[in-house]
Amino acid sequence: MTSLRTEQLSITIAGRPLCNGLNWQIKPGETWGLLGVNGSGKTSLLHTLAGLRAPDNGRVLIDEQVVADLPRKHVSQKLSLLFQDHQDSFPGTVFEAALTGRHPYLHGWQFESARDHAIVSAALERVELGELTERNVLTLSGGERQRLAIATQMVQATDICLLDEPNNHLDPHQQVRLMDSITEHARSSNLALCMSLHDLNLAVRYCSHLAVMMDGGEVLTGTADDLLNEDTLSRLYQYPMQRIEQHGRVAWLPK
Amino acid sequence: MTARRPVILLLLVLLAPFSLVISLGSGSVDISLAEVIAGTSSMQHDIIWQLRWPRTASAFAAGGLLALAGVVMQVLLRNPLADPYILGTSGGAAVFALLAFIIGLGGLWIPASAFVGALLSTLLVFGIAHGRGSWTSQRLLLTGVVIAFGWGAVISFLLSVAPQAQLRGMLYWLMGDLSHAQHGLAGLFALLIVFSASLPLLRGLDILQRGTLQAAALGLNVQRYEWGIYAFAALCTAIAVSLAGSVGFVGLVVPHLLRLLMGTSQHRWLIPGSVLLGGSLLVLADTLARSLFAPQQLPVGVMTAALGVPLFLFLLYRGQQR
Repeated sequence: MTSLRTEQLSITIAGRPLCNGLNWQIKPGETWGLLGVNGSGKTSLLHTLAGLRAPDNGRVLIDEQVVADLPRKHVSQKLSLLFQDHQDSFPGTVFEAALTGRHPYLHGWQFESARDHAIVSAALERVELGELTERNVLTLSGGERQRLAIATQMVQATDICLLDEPNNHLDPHQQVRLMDSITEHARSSNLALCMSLHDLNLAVRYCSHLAVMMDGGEVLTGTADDLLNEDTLSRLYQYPMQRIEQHGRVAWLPK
Repeated sequence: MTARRPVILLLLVLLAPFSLVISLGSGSVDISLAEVIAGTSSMQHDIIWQLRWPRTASAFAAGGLLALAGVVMQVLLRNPLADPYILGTSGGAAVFALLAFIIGLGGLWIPASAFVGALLSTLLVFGIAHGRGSWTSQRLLLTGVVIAFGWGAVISFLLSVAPQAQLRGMLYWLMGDLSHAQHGLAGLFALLIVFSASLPLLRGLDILQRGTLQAAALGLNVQRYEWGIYAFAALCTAIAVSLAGSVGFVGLVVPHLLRLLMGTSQHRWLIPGSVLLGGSLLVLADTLARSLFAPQQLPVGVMTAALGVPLFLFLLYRGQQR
């Protein structure tokens, strides 16, 4: 199985260090939550991991091969990234949009096969868009569009999945349903998963590991059990946080 | 929706020869459909193949090329308002063509100058937007629009100082003029070549229209691909402009017409459809332009707009109601 590793990774934006000499490994079967306040660089870090942005220092490796040296196509068969924003300038169907996820596996002249179509149908069912395959993407609601993007990522079928705020635009019940679906899919396929999350309590509920981006470029990495404590979280949010437990569920709230 | 696409493409395949036959048959001497196909007398034969065919074939080629360039340009800039001329290609072509008019050159000099002007303008925009390595579609768009304004000023200047005798020809050229067409097959051959060259690009366009980051994440070598399709669209536009002057509207509207008609974002449908519809539309527009007020001829750009505007608005309105 494929794993993702960083060596001495440093990212600086406009003179501000977002991460400094980060050594980190995301292994198959692990579900990582990436935490950080607004502007702490979660998106930049994810883009750097995906090879869409050059690191200022250090390197990113997939299966011990440097991402920057690999052909884009090869990377896209190993690693996928769910973006925070989705750009639709032109009309087209939901099915076609999800079908673009098969691009990494086709060469120039080739079109998608019946098997590719079956993969797309299954992914759309999984995110509960099975009824909307022929809908125009421009008419989708924010939540539907987000679920389409997640289906497209499933269609890409990579061992490493990075997700930037997968819960954007979703209502609470949809958030839980979708996170159930994503994490269950990741577990059953033994994927290496890393998602930036705005909602601390979704991280508590779904993540086995956490990467916490602190002010000044320090990134703490470790198991969720090790990092979910008052000290770390209060330092992260620069505000006192407290743990609340009810019916066996843990939640963290500002004091 | 999905089932409709092949039907529409088939209709467009039929529309193309239909428009060609109509065009070859109409003019100051009316020739019936049967006669166009059979070609009876030698005089009719000469009228059709020496007078009308070069113009008709050039119209089809120019229309197809403009529509093709339009689709590609809209994807490159991720902007539905983009057309083949938005980056100043036609402005450069126009300035050079008008200069040729003023110097008193004619015949092949006009298309040749237009072609050189289009390529020079493309290189200029590309060079400036490219700058020190990276360029975004935003930067490319702004550079192109500003350069186009510059060409516009030069065109106005040339028109105001041009000798009276040349002015009419110049104005016609600016609104699209197929009367300089001399070789029918050359244009069609160019269209066939660029269409074939576009085939391996099709799926790349499908993903690039969803943004450069998304395309890169799906394995596209975005920068190389964007340079490639920019050069491709510029070449299509340069050939089209040298064949037909700066015909407006086709390159903007045909891609949108097809998106509305076919309800797809897949370029395996949009590209062949655009070539066929763009070609047919320009042939029909040119036929009307030269026969509606015969012997007076209208600039073909007037007719593309007269046909295209109501058609487009109708489809847009109908699409909204669904």
